[in-house]
Amino acid sequence: MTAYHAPLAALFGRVPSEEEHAAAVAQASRLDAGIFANPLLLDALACEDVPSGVKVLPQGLVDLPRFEVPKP
Amino acid sequence: MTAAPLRSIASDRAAVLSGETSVVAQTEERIDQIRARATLSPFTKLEIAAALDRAAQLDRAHAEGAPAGPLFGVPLAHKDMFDREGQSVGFGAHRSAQQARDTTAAVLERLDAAGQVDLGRLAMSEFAMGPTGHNHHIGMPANPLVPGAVTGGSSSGSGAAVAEGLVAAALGSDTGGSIRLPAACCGVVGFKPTQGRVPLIGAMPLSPSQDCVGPLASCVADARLVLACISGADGRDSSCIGPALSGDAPDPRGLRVGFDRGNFMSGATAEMATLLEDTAQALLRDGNAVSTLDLAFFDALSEPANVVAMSDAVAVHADRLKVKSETYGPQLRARLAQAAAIPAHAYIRAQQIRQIALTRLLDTVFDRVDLLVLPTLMGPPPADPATNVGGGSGLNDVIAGMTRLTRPASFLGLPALSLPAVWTDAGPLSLQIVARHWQEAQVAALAERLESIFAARPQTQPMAAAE
Repeated sequence: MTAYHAPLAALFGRVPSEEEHAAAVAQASRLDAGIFANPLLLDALACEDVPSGVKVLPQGLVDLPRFEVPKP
Repeated sequence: MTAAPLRSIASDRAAVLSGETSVVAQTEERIDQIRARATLSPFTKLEIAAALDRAAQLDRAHAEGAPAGPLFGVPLAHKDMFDREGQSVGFGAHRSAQQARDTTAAVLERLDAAGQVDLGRLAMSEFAMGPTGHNHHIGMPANPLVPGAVTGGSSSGSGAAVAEGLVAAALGSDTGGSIRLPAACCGVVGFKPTQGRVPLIGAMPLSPSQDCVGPLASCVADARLVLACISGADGRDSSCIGPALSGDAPDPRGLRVGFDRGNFMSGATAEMATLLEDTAQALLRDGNAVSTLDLAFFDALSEPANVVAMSDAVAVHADRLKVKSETYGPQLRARLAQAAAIPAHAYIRAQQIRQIALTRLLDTVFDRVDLLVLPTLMGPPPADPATNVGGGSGLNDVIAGMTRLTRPASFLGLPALSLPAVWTDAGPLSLQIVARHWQEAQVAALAERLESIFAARPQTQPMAAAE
């Protein structure tokens, strides 16, 4: 059993298959490099990217921008 | 590799307005052609009675002197994900998902108002999730241009139907490449609009912040015309904020064009690299300002785009999945299972990375150029068996590989068009033209210029008739 069995069971309403479980495990393995240590994010934090609204607040808190398609 | 003659909106419309044929006769002829297909048809349902009723109505209106809209009498067909009152919609899914509808999607209403004859529904990947076109329930239509290659997805039937000359144009949808990929695989034009240009009322949702509806067509002019017909704000859809596509046609020679010469293009075939170089040289000869840019940061968008798409998709499917998981194909179940490993703050962080990337794009790329020219795929369409991985271990590699070049425009809400350019023995090579938001006119202008530069596609024998 891994941490993903319960959320998968809740999602599918049954015990997950091996393929479904493997897909969740593979997704989890991509989160660090793909999201939390994403190079775009790290670059923006390193230089506090003012145009995109990235700000590092006191105590290391981070204020990040919302996505919006520019208006016509 | 050869191809059936393509249809055009202009010729279909002219045939009925000139009196050469009637709308009913043209519609009957097209239905007969579709029914003569042997197997692996791009159609999931031909709405024959409704189409002929509509055709008769248009003939009566024409006889009474009513003005003819831009699509008058033109037979079209559309991806099986748009509501039409009185008809069922299937979503490329298990038959239990088929639903009769009591309203009509905004885009179909607009095409009706323009004069189309809607022939029926076209095949798609299950619930619009699948860049190859494989479908566990209904199979994949045959690629009319490249036997043995995928049609591309998820608008697989739309690409195949246009490529086979069954219709001049067809609507598809695009969340990570699903208009552009079948266009590239089938050797036709696919036009994804700016996020918010076309109303989504009555269109099946996948990832609402990335979903777009747009046309596949035999030529840029037809794709532009259909997009103009369906675009523009609709008071019922608050996400549709853009104006209708105007008739503006900027001089393509005045446009600044950018090509990537850095790591983002690693993996392109030698033929694709040559095509890009030839395109750059042709534009320089035309007088365009051409730049090279480093777009390597686009690769950092693949995982954030997947996180947003799969989380959104599970939110759409959660209720059905809990009670009908056995009706989903193995690939789709595996993809939706990913969401169980995506915490909420990863989703939010992905959205924030999206804005960081958009700012970088606007400040460092679209300050120097008006348009980007990229491939749609790194080479010709991939082979069917190699990409038919179901829900197995190669799934993410296949999806990421197919969508690597198309996902950035989807994730950032940009307009993008796929244009077939060079015909090889392995299949067509297609260019992708991307602009900043709301600049579809620039995309179409450059695409038409490039369309005139590259050779017409080769002709072939008709597909085998049914026995």
